[in-house]
Amino acid sequence: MVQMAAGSVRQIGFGILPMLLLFVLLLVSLSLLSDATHNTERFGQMYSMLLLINAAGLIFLGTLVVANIFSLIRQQRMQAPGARMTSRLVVMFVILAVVPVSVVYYFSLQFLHRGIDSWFDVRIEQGLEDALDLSQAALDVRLRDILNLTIRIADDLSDEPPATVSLTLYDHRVRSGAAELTLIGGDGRIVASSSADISDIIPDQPPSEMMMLMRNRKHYIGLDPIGDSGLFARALVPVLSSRSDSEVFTLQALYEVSERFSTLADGVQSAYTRYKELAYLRTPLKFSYTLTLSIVLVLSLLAAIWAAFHSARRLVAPVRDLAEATHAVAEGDYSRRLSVASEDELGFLVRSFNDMTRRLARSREQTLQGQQQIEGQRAYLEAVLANLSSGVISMSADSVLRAINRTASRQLGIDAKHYLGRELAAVTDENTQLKPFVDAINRHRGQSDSAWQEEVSLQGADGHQILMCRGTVLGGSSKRAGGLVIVFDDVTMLIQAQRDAAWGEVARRLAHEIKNPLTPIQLSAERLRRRYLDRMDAEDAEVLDRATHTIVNQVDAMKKMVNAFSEYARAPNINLEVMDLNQLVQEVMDLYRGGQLQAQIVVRLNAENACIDGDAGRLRQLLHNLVKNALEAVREVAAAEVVVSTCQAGDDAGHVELCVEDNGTGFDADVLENIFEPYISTKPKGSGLGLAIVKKIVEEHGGSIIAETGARGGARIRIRLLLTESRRAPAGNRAHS
Amino acid sequence: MFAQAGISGDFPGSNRLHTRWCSALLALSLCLLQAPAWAGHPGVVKLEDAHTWRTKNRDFLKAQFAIELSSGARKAVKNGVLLVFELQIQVVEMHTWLWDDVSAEITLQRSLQYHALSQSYQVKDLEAGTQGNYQRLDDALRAVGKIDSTQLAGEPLDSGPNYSVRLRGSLDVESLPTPLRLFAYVSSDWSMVSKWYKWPLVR
Repeated sequence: MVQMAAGSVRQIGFGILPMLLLFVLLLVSLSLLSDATHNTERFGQMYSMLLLINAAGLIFLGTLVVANIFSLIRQQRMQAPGARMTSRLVVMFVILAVVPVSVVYYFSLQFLHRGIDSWFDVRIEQGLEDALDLSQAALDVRLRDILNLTIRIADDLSDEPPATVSLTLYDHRVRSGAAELTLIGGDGRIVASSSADISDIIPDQPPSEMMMLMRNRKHYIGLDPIGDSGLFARALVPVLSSRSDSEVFTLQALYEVSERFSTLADGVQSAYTRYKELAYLRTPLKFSYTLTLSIVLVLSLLAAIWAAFHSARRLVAPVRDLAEATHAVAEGDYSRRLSVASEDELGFLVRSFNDMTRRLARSREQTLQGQQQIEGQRAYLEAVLANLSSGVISMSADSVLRAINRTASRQLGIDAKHYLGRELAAVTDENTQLKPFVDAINRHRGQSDSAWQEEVSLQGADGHQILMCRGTVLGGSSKRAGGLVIVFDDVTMLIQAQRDAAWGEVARRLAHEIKNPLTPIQLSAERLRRRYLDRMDAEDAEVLDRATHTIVNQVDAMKKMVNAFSEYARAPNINLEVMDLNQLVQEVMDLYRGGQLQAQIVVRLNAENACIDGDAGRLRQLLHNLVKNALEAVREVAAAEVVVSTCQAGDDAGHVELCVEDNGTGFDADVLENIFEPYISTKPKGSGLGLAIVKKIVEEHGGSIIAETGARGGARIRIRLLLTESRRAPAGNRAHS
Repeated sequence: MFAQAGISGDFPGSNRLHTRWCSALLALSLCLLQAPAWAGHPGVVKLEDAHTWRTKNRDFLKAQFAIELSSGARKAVKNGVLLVFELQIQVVEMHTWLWDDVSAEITLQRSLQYHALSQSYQVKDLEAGTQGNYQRLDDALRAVGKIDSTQLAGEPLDSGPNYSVRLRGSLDVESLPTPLRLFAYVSSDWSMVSKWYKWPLVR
C-alpha cells in the first residue's frame, strides 16, 4: 500500500514569480555579457562581474535542480503519492527541452565558428599588408627628402655663431616648410628653436635613445604620431662644426605630413591594426562566444528542468491530493475536502470527489444513527427480557442460540454466556436434565410448527420442574427468518399450588362428608356389639364380633385417614424460631435408640452451621415421617440401615441439608415423579400423605426437597433449609444465593 | 617625460576594488577549469631602482621597473593589442600595534601599443595624455616602467609618524580586450605583477 505518511511530492525552491524574476535578471545579464564580448567600449568593464553573476545564477539554479532531483528520488523511494507521475513528466519535459536545445546549440556553434573564421581572409590580410607597405614606401620617399633637406640646414648651421643661430633657424624653417626646427646641445639642452605653431612654446624633445644616436653622429629619420596632431616626420641630424673643440649639436626637424596623406595613412594603420588584433583574438573570441552560448544553453536547460519540475508538480498536485484524500477516505476519514483549483477535468474530478465524500459522510452518519437506534432498541429489549418473569430463548434457523435472558438461565440452570453462539444441542450435551426441553423444541421444529405450546417436565438435581413452553417461528424475509423464539414459564410451583389447593378441598370435603358419619357408624357398631353379642349363640356372636370389630377398626382407620387429610389441608400455622437443626435431629433420633428396631440407625451431623429459623414441632413431625418411612422400607432388608445426616449444601453455602437415606428397594421410576403428591405411596398400607406432608412442611420453611435413589439403591430424601444468617442477609445476596 | 600623476588620499584602489574582487573570484573559478596556459617565456615585472628625496618639505620618488613581456604578451603587442600597465605608489603610515594606514596613493597607468605604419611602439601616460614613440620594444617597456620625479603626496606629510613607501607594478588584465581577458585570468602568461616593494621614507 502506498505510504501516505511518508510525505508527498513537494517543491523545493521558490514561487514562480521569484524564479521568473531570477530568469529575467539572468537573461539581462547574459544579454549584457553577450554585448560585452563583442563591444568592449560599453560593457567591457562589467565583463568579469557579469560572468560572475551568471556563474552564480547557474550554480544557484543547478543546486536547485539537483536538490529537486534528490528530493524526487527520495520521495519515489518512499513511495510518496504522485512521485512516479512527477518523475515521468519531468523526464518527458526534460527530453522535450534538451533535444531541440542541443540541436540548436550544436548548429549555433558551427555557425559561430564558421562565421568568425569567415571574417579572416588571406587576400584581405595580404591587401592590408600591401596597403601598409605602400604607405610606408610613399612615406620613405618623403622622409628621404626631408632628411636631405635637414642635412643641408644642418650644414648651414655648422658655423653659424650662437648669436644669430635663432634667426637663421627661423629662416630655414620658413624656407623648408618645417613645422619646427630645434637645435639641441650635446647635454640635451635646447639651444634654439623655431616653431610654426606660436602657441607651442615648448619644443618637442626627442627620446633619449635618439640622442644616443646623435652622440654617435648618426642620422635619424622616422614617422612620429604625435598626440592628436597626426603624423609628423622627425629628422635628427648632427650639426658638425669646423672647430674641433666645438660642441656637437643636434638639429631636430619636424615636418608635418600632409593632411590627406596623414588621414589615409591613419586609415590604413587603424584597419591593419584592427585586423591583426582580430586575427590574433580569433581563438579567444571563439572561446568567449562559445562560453556565452554555453551559459545560455545551460541556463536554458536548467530553467527548462526547473520549469519541468514546477509544471509536473502543478499537474500532479491535484492527482496527489486526490490520492491522499482517497487514502484518508479508505481509512474512514470522510471529512477530507479538496480545494478546486481549476475548472478543467481535474477540477471536475475534485468536485466529484468532494461530493462523494460528502455523501459518504452523510451516509455514515445516518448509519451511525441507525446503529444507535438499533443499539437502543436492543438494550431496551434486553432490559425487558432481563426483567421478564418468563424465560426467553431465541435461536437462528440453524439452531444456534442467539439470546437467553436471565430468567431462562435461572430456570434452566445454565450459564447463558457459555451457550450463546453455540448450537442448541450443546445444551443437552452438558445438561442431560434439559433433554426433554430440547427434545420438545426439536420435535416441533421437525413438525414445522410455526407456533406451538407444550408443557415440559424436567427432573433435575433440584427436583421436579415443569415448564410451560411456547414456541414461535420468526417470519419475514430478514436474515433472522426461520429462527425460533421460545418463551417458557416455570409453572412447577403454580401446579403444586393448584394441587395443594385441590387436595385441601378434598380434605375439607372428606372431613365434612366422611368424618361426620363415621362417629355414628362407630357408635352404632359398638351399640350392636354390646346389645346383641351376649344374646347370640356362639357362632352368631363370633360373626357379630368380627363384623363390628371390623367396622370399628375400619371406621377408626377412616378417621385417621380423614384426620391425616385434615392435617394436610390445614392452613399453615407455623411458628418459626431460631434453632439448631443438628440438635433437633439428635433429639428426635435419640427416641429411636434402644428400641427393638430391625434396622441400624446412623446419625451423622456434619453440618457445622445448622442454625435455621424453624418450627421445632413441625420439623420433628417431618423427621419422624421420614424415619418411619425409611424403617418401613427396610423392614424386609437384611443389614438394614437408615442414615440420617446433616451437612452444608454442597453448591449452596446458604443452606443446610438434611438427608435421610435407607438401603431399601428405593423408589420406582414411575412413582418418583409424583412421590410428593398426596395419596402416592409405595407402601401397601400407606395413606400417601407422609411425604406430601413432609414436602408441605419443607415449603412452609422456605426449603426444597428432593427424592431420589441413593447410591446403594435405596430411597434418599434430601431437604435443604435456609440458614438463619442467609435468611437475614440482604435481599440481593439472598437472591443471588 | 611624463607629467605627474593625480594624487589621491583615498583607500588604495577603492575605485577599482570591486572590479578586482570580481576578477579574483572569476580567476579562482576559472583556475578550477585548468584552462591550458599559453606556453612560453613568462612575463616579469620587478623594481630595478628606486629612491626618494626631499625638497622644500615635499617628498619625491624616482623609480624604474624592469618589465619583460611574456611570449604571449609580446605576440599580442606585435598584433596590435593594447596593454595597460599600472604602477601603484603608496605612502603608508606605520603603526606599531595597529594596521598600517595608507596616507596617499598614486596610480600611474601607461599603455603600450605597436604602431605598424611607423613600426614603433607607442607609450602613453593615460592620466597625463603624453605619448612617446620607441623603435624598440625594450625602450618602450623601460618608458612604461619609469617613474620620473613624482611627488609622493599632495600635501606635506606630518612630521610625527613614520612613513614607508610601497611600490608595485602590474599588467592590468581588465584593460585587455574582452575575449582575451578570460585567458588572462587563468594563464600565467598574463599574470605579470610584481610584489610590493616597501622601504621606509627617510626625511
